[in-house]
Amino acid sequence: MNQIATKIAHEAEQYGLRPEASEYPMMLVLSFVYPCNALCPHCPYTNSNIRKEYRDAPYMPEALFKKIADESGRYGAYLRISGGGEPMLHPQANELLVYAKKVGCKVGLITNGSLFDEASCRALLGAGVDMIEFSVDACDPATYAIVRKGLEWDTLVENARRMLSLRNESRSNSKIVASAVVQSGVDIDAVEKYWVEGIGIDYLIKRKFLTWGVNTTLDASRSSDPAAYLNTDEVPCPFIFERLNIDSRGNVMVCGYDISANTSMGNVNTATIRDIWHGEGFRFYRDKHLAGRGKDIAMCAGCPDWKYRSWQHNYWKVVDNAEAARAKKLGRLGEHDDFRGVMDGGTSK
Amino acid sequence: MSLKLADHLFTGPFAIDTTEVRANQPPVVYAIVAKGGPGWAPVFRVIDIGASSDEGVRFAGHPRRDGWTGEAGETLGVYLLPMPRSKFSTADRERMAAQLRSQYDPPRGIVA
Repeated sequence: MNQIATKIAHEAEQYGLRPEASEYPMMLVLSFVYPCNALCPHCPYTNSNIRKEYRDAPYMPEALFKKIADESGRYGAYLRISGGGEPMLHPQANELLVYAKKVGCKVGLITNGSLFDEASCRALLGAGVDMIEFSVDACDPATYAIVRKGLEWDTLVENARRMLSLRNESRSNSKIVASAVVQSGVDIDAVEKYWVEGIGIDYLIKRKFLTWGVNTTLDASRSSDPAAYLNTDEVPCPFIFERLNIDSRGNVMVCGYDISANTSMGNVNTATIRDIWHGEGFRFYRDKHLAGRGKDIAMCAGCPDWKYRSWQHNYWKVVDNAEAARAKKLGRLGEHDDFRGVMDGGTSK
Repeated sequence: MSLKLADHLFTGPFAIDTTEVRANQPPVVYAIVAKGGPGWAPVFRVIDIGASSDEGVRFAGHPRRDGWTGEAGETLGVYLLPMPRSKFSTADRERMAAQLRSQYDPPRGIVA
């Protein structure tokens, strides 16, 4: 297959806080939920003790979520609703995501897609949830039964079709994408073709197979594309310059590698996110990485996933590409289009 | 939380003085670990590694308990790796503990 038909850029011309993150993180990845209704073999939570460790805090509490959303909304930051389980299992999932949109956040939901009904689709689309990402990993029932153990293929397809249909009908701004892990037994190009051309999603995210190192028992041999994006001897990790992670207890971890929460950059229950973002902990990591000494930090030295992060081929690129596809499908210009102002002042509405 | 030692995922930390593996529970290989450094960049140091006997182990009364001390600013905890009798013998557990001891060289073994 022509997976690398054109060279994809991963490095940047210069490194440091991204301009959009100079005041506040561009993205806050929330461990919104720990329980799951699936047992995917590539999932770090299926292959670790972490879910057990969060039995006392399976869901992010409403008050904590709203505190995060209230502060993040002022900066228009992205809340990535993810974590150790299926977000739609949160008893207040719809209500909280709608709240986050109301207070000005951008919201990206990562879901296995098994739990949507028409009402939840309409609620999320109506609120303008920015990105709804179905983790699909397959394009046929047999493969799906292996890589998404415990879930039903027909339910996934039905729910994705319904979400797309309602999105198109309502001309919602929500981007509907899917993702698949590039792993043994999965034909990633066939998955892309099925979901983009067949089902009609806006974009397929191809994810590297990650092991999360010390956190899990995952084995890198399952990857079918282990080629690195970054030379970690030279290039800083991009995540500490754009995002942070928060668990259901309000603890801020340095990055998505630390899913066991061994680091504590601060706690959202007792400090502002802005202060944590500019605090001693993040400064320590950024200074070390910018000095080419990220590997002096034990956790970064042991991180097998740093090399798969990219300064350019990343979530922001997905947002742009998915938005372009959505706008094209709906036959009008989208929020990222340079000519939006012209259209809004002219014939749209 | 989790701590991986030589590809084995241990669960912990549990408080040393209140943790016990009883005879009717799966035997374990255990690691006594000191966590130091700032909260945002912790350093884990292996203080001791051992295997529980078939009778279990009570860490507060362990013969080497007095030797398990951290340096200033460190907190100590025990991490456990269950090794069920159905799959592992006493000799297997002791062998694994010995391998981990030789790899991490407690009490100074830094976990990267």
